[in-house]
Amino acid sequence: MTESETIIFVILGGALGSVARYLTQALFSQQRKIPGWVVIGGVNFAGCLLIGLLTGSLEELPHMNGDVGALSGGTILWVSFCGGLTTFSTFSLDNFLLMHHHRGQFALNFFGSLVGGWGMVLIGLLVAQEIF
Amino acid sequence: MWHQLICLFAVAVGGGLGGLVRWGSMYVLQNLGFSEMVALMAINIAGCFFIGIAFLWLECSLRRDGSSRLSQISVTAKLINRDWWPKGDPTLPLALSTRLEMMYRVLAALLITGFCGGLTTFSTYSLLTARFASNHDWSSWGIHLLGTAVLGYLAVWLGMLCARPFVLR
Repeated sequence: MTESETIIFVILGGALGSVARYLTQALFSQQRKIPGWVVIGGVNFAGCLLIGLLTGSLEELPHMNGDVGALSGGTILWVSFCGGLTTFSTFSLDNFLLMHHHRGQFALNFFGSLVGGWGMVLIGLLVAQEIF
Repeated sequence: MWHQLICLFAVAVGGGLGGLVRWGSMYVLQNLGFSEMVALMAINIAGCFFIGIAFLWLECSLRRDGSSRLSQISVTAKLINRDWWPKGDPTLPLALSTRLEMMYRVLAALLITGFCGGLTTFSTYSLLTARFASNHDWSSWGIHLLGTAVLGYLAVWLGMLCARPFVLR
């Protein structure tokens, strides 16, 4: 992978992931009236599962240290898709807004997402090790 | 229809840019000698700070009909009489209200859903959580898992405080 190819894959993955998150939000939050924090939680879980699957299928864990010479274009696309799909900023904003409305939902979102995201990565790793 | 396509395009531009900034920052920060955990933490917390700025600025500048989600927050009740706070304005013409709403949607798509969403990541964050746990590195695990979440929360609040002077009236 040359540097410019890497940059194109990073931008493409981030854009596709963000659009997927936006469309999921539009479909479930705006049309079906599911609370926004539940939808973002679900999207984040999906991204964690995807990165778990990727990591489990590789020989070595991908470190995002920019030393991408060894990574294939597909891996870079997958990692940046997961990065674009998932979000930490909206998660924190939802926490902030929920804290002042519904303390119970705040606790559920805060701890549920932290533990759930970890769990989804582990599930992804296990499933990938079974398959590959 | 056109309006929705513009929003979708704005999300793609913001998301691509945010992803590139994250990738570039990870590279630069780790070349400066910071660990992967610290670099990711810095980026996620910076994204939370930006979303605090963008959210308060957009809600207060463009949601002038009083429909802002911020105006329902009880802890900000003491702020509601400040002159920058969005108030329900029944004299706001419908055309202006609609135009502000469209501007709000496009800018929120570009800055919040696109850029901040693309910049920050939950997947690598959870991957690091799992990696620290499998290495039994519990101190890093705790700092990473709770530190990012708590500092991210505070960064949203700090971003909102910083955005106040820039709200358009």
